[in-house]
Amino acid sequence: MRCVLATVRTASLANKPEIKLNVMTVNPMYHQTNQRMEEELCWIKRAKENPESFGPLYRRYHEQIFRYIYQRMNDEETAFDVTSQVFMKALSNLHRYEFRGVPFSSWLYRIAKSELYQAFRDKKAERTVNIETYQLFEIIEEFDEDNTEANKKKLFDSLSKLKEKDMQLLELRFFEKRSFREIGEILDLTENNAKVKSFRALEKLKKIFNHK
Amino acid sequence: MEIKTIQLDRSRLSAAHIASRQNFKQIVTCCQAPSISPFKSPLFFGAMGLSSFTLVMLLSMNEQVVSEDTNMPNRGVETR
Repeated sequence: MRCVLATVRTASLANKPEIKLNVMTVNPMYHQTNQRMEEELCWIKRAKENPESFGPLYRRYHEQIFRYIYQRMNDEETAFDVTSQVFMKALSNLHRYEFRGVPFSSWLYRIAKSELYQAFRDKKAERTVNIETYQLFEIIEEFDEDNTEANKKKLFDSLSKLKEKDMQLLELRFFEKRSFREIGEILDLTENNAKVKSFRALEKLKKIFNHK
Repeated sequence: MEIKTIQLDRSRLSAAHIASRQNFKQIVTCCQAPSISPFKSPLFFGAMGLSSFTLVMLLSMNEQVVSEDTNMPNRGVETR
C-alpha cells in the first residue's frame, strides 16, 4: 500500500503558502513512553485498592474518550453521558484489567466502542460521521483525482454508501490518523489485519467513487 | 448499523469546555453504590438453596422414620 496520505497540502486548500504536514505521525496521545506506562500501571494498582486513586487516569483520558465518542454522534450531551458511562464501567471492572503491553487507553477505547454502540441500539443517539473538508480532499488526492468541488460532492455521496465496518476503519485511519497498531487494539484485530482491512475499506470507497 | 448523517466541518469543542464537564466525584459515587440487590446476590441464593435442600432432606428423613414406625408389624403385641 502506498504511504497513505503521506503529505497533506493544506496550503492548496486554504490559499496559504504550501506547508507539507506529515500526517503519518499518528495520534501522539497514544504512543507512550515506558515511563508513562509504568506511571499508569502504578495508578491502576492503586485504583484497584481505592477507587479515589482512579482520578489521574480519568483526567488523562477524559478528553480523548469524549472526542472519540462525540466524533461518532451528533449530540454533545449524550456524548458526555456516554463518556461518563465508559469511565464508570472502567472503574467497576478495573479488577479485571490485566496489563498486556498496550496502553491503558486501548482498554478504555474498547469500552467506549461497546458503550457507543449500546447507545445507538438504545436509540439514545444517531450514528453520525464527522469529516473536515480537508480530509475529503486528502482522500481525493489518494484516489489521484483533482481536488474539485464536484469530486468533493461525489466523495461525500460515496461515503454515505459505505458499510459501517468499512466506515469505522476509514474514520480511525484517515480521519483520526491512528496507527494500525492502535486500530487493531480498538477493533480487536492484529496490526496486519487492521492494515489489510483499512486498505480494503479504502478500495471499496474508491470503487463506489469511480462508479458514480 | 445505519449511518444516519455525515456532517462536514462541525465546530470543534475546546479542551477547556470538555475539561469543565469532568465529574470524577459522580464516577466514584456511582461505582461505590451497591449495584446488586441483596435478593439477586449469589450469597442470598446460596443460603436459600442450602436451607431449602436441608429442609427437604430433613422432611423426607422424618417421613421415612414415621412410615417405618407405622409399618412395623404387631407393634405393641407380645409374641411368645
